[in-house]
This record gives sequence, C-alpha cells and structure tokens, in this order.
Amino acid sequence: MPSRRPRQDTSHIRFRFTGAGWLFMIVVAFIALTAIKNQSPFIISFLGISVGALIFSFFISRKMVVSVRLRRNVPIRAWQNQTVHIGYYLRNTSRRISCLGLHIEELVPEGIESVAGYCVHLSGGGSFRAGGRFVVNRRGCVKFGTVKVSTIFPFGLIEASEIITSPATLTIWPARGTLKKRMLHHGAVEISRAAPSRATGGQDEFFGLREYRPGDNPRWIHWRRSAAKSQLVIRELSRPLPEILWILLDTSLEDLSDVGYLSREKAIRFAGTLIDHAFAKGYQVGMALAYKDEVKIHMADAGLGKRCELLDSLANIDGNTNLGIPRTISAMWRGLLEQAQTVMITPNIKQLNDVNLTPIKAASRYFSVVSDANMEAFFDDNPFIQENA
Amino acid sequence: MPLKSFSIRELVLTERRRMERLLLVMIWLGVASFSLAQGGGNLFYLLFGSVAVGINLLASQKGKEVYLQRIFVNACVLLATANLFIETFFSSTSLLLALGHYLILIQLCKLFERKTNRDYVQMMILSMLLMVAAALTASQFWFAILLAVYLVLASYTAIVFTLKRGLDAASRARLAIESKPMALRQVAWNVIRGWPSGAIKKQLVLSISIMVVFALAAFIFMPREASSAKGTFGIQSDNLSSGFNTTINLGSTKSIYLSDKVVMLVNVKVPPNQKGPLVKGVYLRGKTFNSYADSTWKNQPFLSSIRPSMILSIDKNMLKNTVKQEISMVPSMAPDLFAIYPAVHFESTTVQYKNDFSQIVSSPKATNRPLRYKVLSWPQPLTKDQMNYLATIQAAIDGDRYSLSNIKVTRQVGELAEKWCADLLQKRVAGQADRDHIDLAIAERIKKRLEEDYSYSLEFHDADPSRDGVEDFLFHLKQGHCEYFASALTVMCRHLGVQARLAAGFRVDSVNLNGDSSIVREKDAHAWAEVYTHSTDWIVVDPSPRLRYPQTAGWLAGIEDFWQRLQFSWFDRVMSYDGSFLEKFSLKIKDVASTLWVKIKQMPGNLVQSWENFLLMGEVDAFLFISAIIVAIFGIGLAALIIILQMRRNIRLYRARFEKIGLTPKQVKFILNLHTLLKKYGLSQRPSQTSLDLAHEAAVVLDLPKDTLVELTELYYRLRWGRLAPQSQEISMAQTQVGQLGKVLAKRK
Repeated sequence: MPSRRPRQDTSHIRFRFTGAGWLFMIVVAFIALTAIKNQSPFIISFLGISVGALIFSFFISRKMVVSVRLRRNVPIRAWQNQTVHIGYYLRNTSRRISCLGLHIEELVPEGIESVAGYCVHLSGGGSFRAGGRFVVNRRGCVKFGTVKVSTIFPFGLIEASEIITSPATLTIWPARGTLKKRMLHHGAVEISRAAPSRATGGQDEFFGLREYRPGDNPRWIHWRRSAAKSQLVIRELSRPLPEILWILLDTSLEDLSDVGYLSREKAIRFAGTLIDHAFAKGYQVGMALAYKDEVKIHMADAGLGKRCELLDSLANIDGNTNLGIPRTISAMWRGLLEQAQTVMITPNIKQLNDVNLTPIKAASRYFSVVSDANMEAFFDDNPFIQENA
Repeated sequence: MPLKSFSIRELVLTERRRMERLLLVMIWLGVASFSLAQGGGNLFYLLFGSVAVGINLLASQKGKEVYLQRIFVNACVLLATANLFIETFFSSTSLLLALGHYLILIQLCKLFERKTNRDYVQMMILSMLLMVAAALTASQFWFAILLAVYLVLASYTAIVFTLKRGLDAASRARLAIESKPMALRQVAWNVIRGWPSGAIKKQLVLSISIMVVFALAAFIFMPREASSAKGTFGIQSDNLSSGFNTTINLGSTKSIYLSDKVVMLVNVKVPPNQKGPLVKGVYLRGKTFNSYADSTWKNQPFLSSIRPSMILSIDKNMLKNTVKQEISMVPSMAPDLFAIYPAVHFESTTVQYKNDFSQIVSSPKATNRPLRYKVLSWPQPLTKDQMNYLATIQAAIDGDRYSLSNIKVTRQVGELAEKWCADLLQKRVAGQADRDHIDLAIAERIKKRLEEDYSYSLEFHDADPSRDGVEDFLFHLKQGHCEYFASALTVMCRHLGVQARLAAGFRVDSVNLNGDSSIVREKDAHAWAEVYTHSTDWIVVDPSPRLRYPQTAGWLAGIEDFWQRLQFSWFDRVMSYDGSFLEKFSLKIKDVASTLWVKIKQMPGNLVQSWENFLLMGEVDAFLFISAIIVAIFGIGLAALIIILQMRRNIRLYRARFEKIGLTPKQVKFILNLHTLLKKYGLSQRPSQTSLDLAHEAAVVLDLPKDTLVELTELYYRLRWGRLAPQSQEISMAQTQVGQLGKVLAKRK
C-alpha cells in the first residue's frame, strides 16, 4: 500500500467555453465596461459575481473531472446495424465532492454513430454504471481508443474534459438480413450401422435385421432369429447424419466501382445471415473464402465457437482483388462436401462461366448458386443499410 | 431503487417544473426590480409582468404549459421592437429605459412561447441583462435584497438547467436504426438513480459563497475613478426629496407632509463643559435669507463677499474646544451645507465647497452617494477672541445687507410691530439701555407675542396668495408653520431696526452630544430667525411653537425606524464607498512591511548583543526573552504540525484498508474486533484462510459457539460482497455478540 496518495496528474484536463459560456462572456464584458464607466457599486458587485461564477465553474468542473475514474465494458462482437450497448463504470475517488452532470463520449473512428453516456449524479466515493449505445454501420473491426469524460456543471459555461485511454476492440459482423426461402434442406439420409454410435446416445433407432458380417459387434446379434434362420443375424440400427452446410463465398473485388463493392458487401451479408440461420437450425457449417493472399477453409462444425469464427472471418474480409471463386473452388477438397449442402455465393455470376462446377455438384448432397442475379429471391437485405455507407 | 420512481412524469415534467417555477420567479424579480427602480412610471410593466408570470406559474402548478402559436409570439416581438424604436427616437425616454422595456416585453413574449432549452437560456440571459439594467438605475437597499434573492434563484436555476439539458439529451437520443428514443425508464437506469437535491444544494451554497466573496472583493478592491464628474455639482434624485426647501415663498404651499425619511446622520461631539445650550436641541443651518418682498425671501449667501484669506487665516488655537460635527447627508440636499452656527472649519474629501462654507460647488463623484463632511463650530456663548474674529468678518459684509430697504413691510405689519414693542422702542430712543440689550428684548417680545397669539398649523387652504404672506399670517390666518413665524419675527425686527435674518435648516431636538450618530429626518426641516448684536453675534430666536409630531407607536414604529436607519446606512456605508479602504489597506500593508523590514534588519545586531549580555553577564533582556518565546512557539507549532500530518496519514491508511473492500470502518468494526480478540488468544487469520475458516477453527480450538461465529462472519460477507445496506440494529447486535465472546474468553482465563 502506498504511504502517500499519488498526486493526480491534471495536466491533461482541457477546458473550453460552451455556447452559453461565450454568451455569458459577452454579457460579462458588457458588465465590466459598464462598471468601469458607471462605477456603480451594484454593477461592480455584479461583475464580481459573474467573475466568481466563471472561476467557480472552472475549479469545480476541473475537480469533478479529475475525481472520476472510468472503466468501460464493451462487447467483443456485434452485428452491423444493430444496437450495441456499452457500459461505463464510473467511480468517484473524492469522498467530499459529488460529481454532477458527467458526459462520457467515445472518440471513435468513422462508421459509428456517436457513443455517449450521461451520469446525473455520482456521489462522493460512490460508483455508478452509466449506459450508452451505438450502432456500427460497416462490418470490420472497430478499435476503441479514448473516452472523453466531461462536465459543464454547474452553470453550463465551461466544459472541463479529460481524455482517458482505454483500448478495446469490437468485431462487427456483417448485418443480418432475412432469408426469404427455405434454403436449408433437412435431409432424411441415414446410414445403417450395426451398433449405435457412442456419440449420439439415444438417437439411434432400430432399422432392421441383416446377416452378420465379420467385424460386427457380436453383442448386437439377434440370437432368436439367428437360431431360426440358422445363420447369424444381427440387429441393424440407424441414426441421422448431421446436417452440414458448406458455403463457398466469392470475395473477389474485380469491379472496383461502388456497384461492385456494394454487391460484394451484400453477398457477405447474405453469407452471414445464412451462417446465423444454419447454426440456429443446428447445422454444422463450413466455409471457404479467399483473402488477399490466401484461401481460407473453415472446416464444418457446430457450436457457438464455430459460429463466431465464421462470422469473424466474414467481418475481416479485406479488399481481395486477386483470388476469385475458381481459386477458392480449387482449394476445396471434394471429400469435405460429401453429403453436405453446398451454397456458392458470388456477387458476379459471370465469374462462374468458365468454372466447372460438376465435381462440386457431384460431391454435394444439395448444391445451389446464389448470385447477384437471383439473390433477391433468397434474401431480404438489412433495412438500415445505407447505400453510401 | 424502484422502477416506478422514474416515470415520464418524474423525469420530464417534474424536473422541468423544478426549474421552471424558479425561473418564473427569477424573471418576475428582474421585471419588478427594473420597474420599481424607475419609480411609479413603470407600474404598467410591473403589472403586466406579474400577470404574465402568474399565468405561467399557475399553468406550471397544474403541470401544463401556456403557449401561443409561434407566429403570434413573433408578431409580439415585432411590436416590442417597434415600441423600442418609438421610445428611442420619438419620445423623451432614455435609451436605458427603452432597452429595459424592450427586454421586459421580449421576456413576456417568450413566456407564451412553447419553450425549449434554447428558450430557457435566452430567458435567463434576458433576465440577467434586465437585472444589470436595474442595477444601473437603482441604488436603494431593497434592490440589494432583491439582488441577493435573484442571485440564489439564478444559480439554482442554472444548475438545475445544466443537469436538465444532459437529461433531455439522454432521453431524446435516438439511433438511426431506432424508430423512437429509448424508453424513459431505461434512460433513467442509465443516467440517474434519484434526483440529487442534497448535492445540488451543497454546490449551490458553495457557488454562492464564492460568488459573494468575489463580489465583495470586486466591490472593495476595484479602483474607483477619482474625477468622474467635473464641473458643477448637480444631482437630482426624485427618490430622495427633503422637507427642506431652498426657497421660501409664503402662501405657495397649501399643505405640508411630515415625512420620516432619513436625510442626514449627524455625529455631534461637544466639549463636556459646553453642552448647556445644545442640550435642548441643535439648529443645523443651511441657508440664510435677508431680503423679503411679496411673500418671497431671497437667498443671499452668508459671507459670500469676504475674501478666502480671511477664513483661512484663523488661528489653529481657536479651533480647540469646538463643537465637532460629522455629517452624512443624502445628495439631494446639495448644494447646501448644514452646520451649527458659527462654523469656522470645514473638511471633506467627497465635496468641494465655497470658501465661505455656504454651498457645495462641486463633488468629485456625481452619483447618488451620501455627501460626508466634518465641521467645527464654536459653542455659544462666544469668547471675546471668537467675537473679534467674527466681527472682523462681519465688517467685511456689505452694510446695506440688513437694512430696511431689503425688506418690504406692509403698513399693517409695521404698525403691529411698533405696537408690540412700543415701550422698548421708547427706551431705545431714550438711550435708557444698551442697544444690543434692547434689540434682543425686541426680538424676544415679538417672539413671545407670536407664540401666545398664533397657533401652529400645517394646513393653509385659506391662504390668500394676493396678500403679503406675513400680513396674511398675522391678520387673517392667525396660524402658520415655522416659515410664517420666523418670517414675521424677522420682518418685524427689521422694521424696528434690529438686524435679523431668516435661517432655514434642521432642528434636531434629541441630539446625542457624545459623538454618536443622530438621525435627521425630513420632518425635522425648520425655519427660524437669527438676530445680530455686537455683543453676541448672530443668535437663534425661534418663534415657532413646538409642534407635537404625530408619532407612530409600537413595534411598527420600531421597524420603520430600523428600516430607515438601514436605508441610510446602506447609502452611507456601501453606496458611497469610494475605494478608501483599499487606499488605507495598502498604506497599512506598506507601513507594516516597512516596520517589519526595519526590525528584521536590526535583528542580527540585537541578537548578537543579547547573546553577549546573556553569556557574559547572565542577563536576559526583552529581545532574548521574546526570541526564546518565538522559537518555542515555532517549535511547538512544528511538532504539532508533524503530529497532525502523521495522524492524517494513519487515518488515510486506515481508511484505505476499507476502501479496498468498499466498506467504511464503522460497518465492519465488529469483524475487526472479533479477529483482534481471536488473535489475542493465539488464533490469527492465515493468508490461505478465509474468515469463515477462521470462525470454524475458533469454534473448535477455543470452544466458542459455532453458530454465533458463523453468523458474524456471514454478516460480514453479506456486507462486503452482497453490498447490501447494513441495518444499524444488525451491526450493533454483532458488536454486542463480539463483546460477549470476549467476556466468555476472559472468564475462562
């Protein structure tokens, strides 16, 4: 424990006059001139009162800002165009002076609606959790750096502010839209096994009887039928295969115009919506997509962790201008698509003209291509997308 | 905190009304101050403003808002601007008044507008400007009270408004993707737990204290310009009128109102052996008149023809044993100076006066501030030297000044005078007595006849202006006020060849002669006659019967008197402050610093000398003794400072221990006591051990009731981790339980 309370560094406290403050200054200047000319005791006292109000504002606002300690609670991930709630934990280190009218404002990069919190009263030595909310209107990674804590208390004339550095990162997933059609097919494909799988537990059902084959578990031999048939008959069980969705996303930005950029973003939003929807339906989802330098393949799996991984990868898609969908397809191992539903998403259908899709179609249980031409049929975009964002 | 506390009503209406009512009162104060500062002429604005504010207050009380369509309000603003234009260019109204009226009208228009935060700011600024305008014209004490109230209201309103702005912004904030702002309940949870009335009041007190300190500092230390008004003194204040008239015209006044308004504070200090003639009353003379015609007295200033050198050549020894008068008077009394006759020395820093002390000629500060001066007068009867001095001056006076030609006496009046004093006139002709003695006897005779045959009255509705005033008084009215009595006596004396003149000023009956202040009111204004003889100089002959003033009785009179005194003191002490304190203060500082510097320079030498004396002869002189005391005090002070600092540090450390866990020491004192107790019996908390573990161990090792120990520990946990507000009963019970455990252990020992 330190023997002496560390001296607070107040050099970074900034002051500025508010609009009302400038107006007040004009009035004070007027009063000062009148006092000099008129020398009326009342006007001189009025001048003293006005100057006192300014100096008191200066000191008390400074004291309040210096006394406040701030901690920010910001989520790690959020959807584009959805409200993000942010918490500011404020603590007053001064036991004597209450802090009033505290504004908290994030000094954030572009693409974010201003984030602000407000605390009317923070008692001496007390704490308060002020809330703020904002919307990010572009996907990607938002780095929070500095927060401005300010107050214009008591008279709204002078704003004292302190810039607090508190780094945090927020990954913004592409905005969710709405799927118009049921794109995800629930398959009835089952595979027969001579024993229930260990993993699925109680999902296995009785399918039928068949002759015993070497390697089958003797535990599941149906002895009564075997005796009747005089050959070994074994019970065959079945279980549903997991639903697998593979998304092949074309991230190439061949058309560098606004239209090309917006089309790609829409395709990304569609992919994000599909992923979210598939995980909600219990699918295992895998995805292949290309970045500027490499093609990345996310193996199909279920769970929240996988969902975050896929949506994060969508959030972090860069300005890839080299690697088109043929490269992504070629990097894909066909075996992964076996029994899977494959959706190929491309903002430009023309890119597929020279691509042989037959092997993928053959490998997949279902295969569909969603492009700029038919995306409207499947996807309702997020209503708050601004075309010029 | 229950959610229902943060209803829309609470957040919007209540907070708004919390500020709005005070703002309305603040606006009314501004309007009232400006209107009242202008006198009765602006009662229209006061009435209009009061009605408008009243309507808004009533609406606010009912939780509603009174507003017109913006187009009507804008039209009213245009009309107000037109009024400003007309008042400025087409009427005699001063620019300040016109601007004040404009500010009032604009504010009233805004009162009937749908108010946003911007409107509130505008109204506050307008109100402040109006108050500044009022401060430019008002100087009375009541304005100071209103200003103080205004300051409190304005500060509180501004504070609440600042918080309201933030609250409004939070409740109106809407993101692009949201169809409407957040529910107010949610806003409440995000920004406020409860309205911080206590904290606001604390800040209000602090802010007002600081503002008052700055106001006082500005008032005291702001340098005043020494010669802001040049030329002839000429203050005209409608509010400060006196019963004292600068001209006397008999018959012109039909009625006299006795006003209690304080016009002067007089400190009279008389040498103990010379109080006699002044005990019954003091005549403060302001003007003398020696020329009478057609009911009108003409003023010819006393001693106006003498040379300044004659006044200035007075021997200073003759200024001993004088009646000292310190007078503060309202500026409306200028240009006359008031003093007990004969005044031989004047002194003032605030006024400049004629060399013959008859009139103020200019004032350094031509504002509504009291005029202060000191006068020295000789007490009656005069000594031979004093008489000679005055005779020298008298000799310089034009001989015709008191001749019969200077007065116009009607035949009837002359005959009456001769009739009353026939025997004395015969004696004078026969030379049977001293002329001075006869003259005084004539004056006394006339005085006696006037007192006996005529009565005092303040009503003169039957007065006939076509007649001579004195004749009308003596033969028709048979009653009159002091001017009639004094005029009659003067005119009759002059007719009979006695040098007499009319004097006007104040007669103070109950004056304190020990230097304490006595109040002079308007109703003390008086006129009397003065008669000159070579042996006595000018002496007062007052023929007016004593008037019984209608006195206000009871506590009301006390309050009125107190208020009057307060008003005058306000003028005397505050409004007339001229920066002299700063001057005195700086001189004092300079003196102290120079004295100190001299002593510091002498100190090494004195110290060496004292030590030599002490070491060689064993003498402890005063310097050494004082030095020893200073060193001892310094040492004790230093030791006390170190102890205080050490204690503060310990207290801080002690508190810091509990800041970590977020509890005040008082709340968890019981668990500390318990741990101290257990430690005393060999059980202290190990780093890996929780408080609960320690409780279990103590129950086993020391054979203490396990339930009690566990309950105490859980209470501590609840306070610490649950952050629940502790019940005072619970804590006191816990402390009792710890005490009981201590007793149990002590018994076993």
